[in-house]
This record gives sequence, structure tokens and C-alpha cells, in this order.
Amino acid sequence: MLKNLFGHILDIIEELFKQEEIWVFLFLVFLGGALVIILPVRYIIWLLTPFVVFAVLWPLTRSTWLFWRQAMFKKNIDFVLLELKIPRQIKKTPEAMEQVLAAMASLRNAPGDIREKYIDGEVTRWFSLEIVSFGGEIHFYVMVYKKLVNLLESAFFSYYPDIEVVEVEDYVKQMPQDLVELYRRDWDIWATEMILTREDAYPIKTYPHFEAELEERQNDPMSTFLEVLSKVKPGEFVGIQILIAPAGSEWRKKWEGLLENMKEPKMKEITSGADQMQSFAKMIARSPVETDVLEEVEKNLSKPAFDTLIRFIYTAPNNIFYESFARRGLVGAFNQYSTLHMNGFRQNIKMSTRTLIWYWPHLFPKWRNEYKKQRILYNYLNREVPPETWMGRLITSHPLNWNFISKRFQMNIEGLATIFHPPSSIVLTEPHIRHLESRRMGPPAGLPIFGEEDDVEKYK
Amino acid sequence: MDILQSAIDVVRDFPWFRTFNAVRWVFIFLDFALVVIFVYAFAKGLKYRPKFYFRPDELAKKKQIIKDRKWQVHWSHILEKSRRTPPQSLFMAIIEADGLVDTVLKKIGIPGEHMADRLERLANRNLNTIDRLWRAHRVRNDLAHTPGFTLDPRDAEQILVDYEEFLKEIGAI
Repeated sequence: MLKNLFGHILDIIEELFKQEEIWVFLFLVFLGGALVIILPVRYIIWLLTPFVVFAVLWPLTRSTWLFWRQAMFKKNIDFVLLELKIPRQIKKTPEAMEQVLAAMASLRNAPGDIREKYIDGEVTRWFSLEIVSFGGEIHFYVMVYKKLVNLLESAFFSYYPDIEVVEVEDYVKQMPQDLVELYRRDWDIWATEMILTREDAYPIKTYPHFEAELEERQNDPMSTFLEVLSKVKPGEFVGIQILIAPAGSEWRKKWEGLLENMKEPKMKEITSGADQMQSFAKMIARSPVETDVLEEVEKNLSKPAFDTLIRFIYTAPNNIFYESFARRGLVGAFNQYSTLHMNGFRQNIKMSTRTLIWYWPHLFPKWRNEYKKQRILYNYLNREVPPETWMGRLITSHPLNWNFISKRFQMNIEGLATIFHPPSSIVLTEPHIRHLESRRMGPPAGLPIFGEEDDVEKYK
Repeated sequence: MDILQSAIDVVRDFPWFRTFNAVRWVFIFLDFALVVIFVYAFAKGLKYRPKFYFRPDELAKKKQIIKDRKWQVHWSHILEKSRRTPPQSLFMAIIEADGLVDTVLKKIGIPGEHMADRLERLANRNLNTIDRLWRAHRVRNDLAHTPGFTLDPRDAEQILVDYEEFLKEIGAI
């Protein structure tokens, strides 16, 4: 027993010495030891202080600097809100939305050099997909960087020729701009953010799983949202905000380790036959569901992804305010995408504006709740994505409300197309949405247009 | 052997301590520079910190101080105009005063589709002059909508005083 243990330890040490880094480490340790022998400790501390201070200050300063520049960059992005006006019938499945999102993923910007990163503070510009209900009337919005409006419009038109994309006044300007104003109007608010239950590599239940050949087996997950949102009473407001920023192709690399682990087959030896004639066979022991998960994860990683943040708020006058409607209804609507063996949505409970004394840290639940409401209202109105830097999160924190909780996850275009797409013809939309009553037709090609360059530009 | 010996000599003769000291001073200088940059960036970054209030529910109940010179100037302008050609100018002044009060109410953030709607919401705020404001508002409606409605100039002046009292009570002028 003891011998075994000893052997184990030796094995571990042998493994360690095979690593190359250990030699660098040992060298440093010996050098340090030698220094301690030669010089008194106090002297060493005195000598090394500048280096230690530098090692601490450098990341802090870098982080603070980046936050300042990035906050400035974010503030200066011109965003435009586009409304998607939906015709009576859309024959397209969410697959069309997936293609639109794929086009959006290619509009990614990222800092390319030192100047862009540290002086301009460039961050990936994000989009916002929004489903909003004003007292039961449902609207679809897409918020986009001003210079990308044309590209986005063309992406939508090429897959949804009947949809109209209109630039509209931002509706959040009509809303109370902070909690004090909201309370003065005698309203109240409930809000939360959603995150994934497991690692981002696992997909949620996506639209191919809702579709089938047979008409009676066809479903559109959008119908649940429309039904819930149409139950909103006059005076109430519900907004679902999905902030997406294209994530670049590194997202696959991040999960390659997990994928390798899953692919590693669990072998099982099977023995059969009598003693002399024994034959051994190895078999991959993987249950059908495990195979299914592996397939789904691999498929999930094969498509471009977005850094995603889902946030929704519910505001209503105090006399009809009923937070369970949002808490149960909307969270329930998100639940339809969940599967237990893969992924699903859950509330980011520390962001949600329901703070009870039973939850950690058990202190001042009322005061902290007020701060949470202010934070999430501010985030919703400004369509804020959390700062990337640690110092940024620290600076935007408040003593009773630290800004380290809100987080983004990565979701691929298939998942996103499932949670946001113009409702297809399966969904009953007539009572809930104000439709477009006419169809758009383009002019015939080669139509002669007379006028100055500027006049012609208007019709393009 | 000679090569090895010379290599050892080079290593031994190298001014290790002086080099170390020089590097150390460079780092001390860098540390100071970093402190300065850190403080500067921190101060700049603070501007992007969202402003939240402690106990916003208490704040919302408080009477809002919305004193603004703009309204004061507007009000004195209305009074001045009212004295030009009475009684017609007085009637005009009443309608303008009503408009001013409505703007102020909107600015405070009282919701409602029209002014009467907003006044109803003010009912639970314990304002002393609210009844007088109601009366004034009714007179203004008569003035605006009923043809041939006239008012004694002295009453008209009283109405203007009602508006003024209300604006003073909520602290607008």
C-alpha cells in the first residue's frame, strides 16, 4: 500500500520533470534562493519594490485606460432604430432569418492595431433585436449602426421581400428616463436578464426541431411570445431586448477541448466464447442520446456566433402592476427552447429585480432592489452591453450594486434565428400586429429616369 | 578551456549591479508615469458611470424643485402683455397662462392626455391652490370654446393671480 503510494508520487514527479516549464521555474527558484543567501531580505524588498509596483499598476492602468476610451467610443456610435413591418403572411421559415443573421455576422468590426484599440477604443458594434409590446400591440425592431442601415435593409429584403424596414423614432425616448421619473408617473418595473444553463457550446432547441412535414406538427416558437405579449393590458409595457455583437471565428476554438473530450470514445471490452476460444472485442459505449448531443454540439460550433445578451423589462402603472405576469409568462416563453440534455435559458437571478432577504448576501434587500431596478432600466434604455474591462466594471459599480453580474454568452445564428424571427405563416398574428396591407413591387428594370444625380439617388 | 575562461570573465566583469540599478530607476520612473495615467483615466472614466440614486422612491415623493428663470421670464411677459389693451389682452393672457402651467406640469412628468387629466392626478399631492387652479382652468375653457363668453376684467385679473399662486406653490417661479 505504502509502496504503491510512493510509486505514485514518483510517477507524478517524473511527469513533472518532463514538462519544459519546470526548468524555468526551478531556475528562478534557485536564483531567488541564491539572492536570499547573499543579500538580507529587507534589502531585496527594497530592490524589487519598483518591479512589483509595476506588475500591479500596469494591468490596472491598462484596464482603466481601455474602459475610458471604449466608453467614449460606445457613446459616439450613431444608432438607428428600424421597425420591421410585417405583411399578412410570411411563408419563410426561420431559416431565412438565419441567413439575415449570417449577413449581419459578416458586418463585424474589431480593433486591428494598437491605435484602434487604445486610442479609438474600438469595440465590436452591436445590434439590438427587439420585440416590444405597447399595451398589447406588438412591434419588431432592429437597432443598427447608422452606416450599416443600407446593408441590413438589403439583407432583409433579399430573404423577406415582403417585409418593410422603416426608420422610426426611438420609442425609449417616450419612456421615463430614470427610476425617479418612473415612480413619479406612478409606475413600477420588473426586469431581468437571461443566460444559458450550461456551456455555450451546447445548443438550445432550435427551429428545425419545431418543424415537420405534416402541417399539424408544425410549430413556430414565436407564437408563444406573441400570445404572451398580446396579453399585455393597455398602459403596460413589455420589451424584450436581444443585444448581439458578432463574435468572430475564435468561438469554435474556445470549445475545441470540450468537443475532443466528448469525441473520446468510452471503450468497453466484451468477452465471449469459452476459455480457449475467447475473442475480445472493443465497443464504443455511447448511448443514442450521447451521440445526438455530440452531433448537435458539433453542428452548433459549425456556424458563426454572436455575443448575446437577452434582457427584458415590464413596466406598468401601479394599479395594474402584476410582476408575476412577466416573471412567469416571459420566462416561461423562453423555457420552450430548453432541453435538459443540452441547453436552455434561465434567469440571471442576481440581475433580476426581485431581491429577497433569503438570498445571499442577505443585507438591505430593499435598497439593493432599488439599485437593481435603476441599473437594468438604465441598461435597457441605453442598450448597454457590459464593459469588457475589469476596471470598467468596477468604475460603473455602486456600493450596493456591483456591476460584475451582467454577462453575455455566445449563441450561434441558428439559435438566434429561433428566438427572433418575423413570425411565419403558422402563427396567428392578425389580432396582435398591425400588418402591412399592400405588397411591394419594384419598378421594371431599365426604366428611364431623368434628373440630376441627387434626384436619382433618392429612388435607389 | 580558454573560451570557457573568457566567457566566465565576461560574465564576471559585466557591471551587473549598475545595470540592475539603471533598470530599477527606469521602472521607478515608469511607476510614477503609470500612477499619473491611472488617475487621469480614472477621472475621465468616472464621467461614464451611470448616476443612480439612493432610495428613488423617497425622492419621487418629494416636491420637485424646478425653479427656472425661463418660466419666470415667461410669466412676467404674460403679465406685461395682459396690461396693454384690457379687457381683450387679459383674456389672451389667461389662455397663455394656462398653456404655461400645462407646460410646467408636463415638465414635472405628470402623465395624462390633456390638462384636466393631469390636474386629476395632482389631487393626492396636498396642494393648497389646486381648487383655484381648477376654477381658473374651467374659465379658460369657457373663454376658448364658448362664443360670446365675457368676463369682468377684475375677475380676469383674479384668475391670473390664481395661476400665479399655483406656479409659486409648486416652485416653478
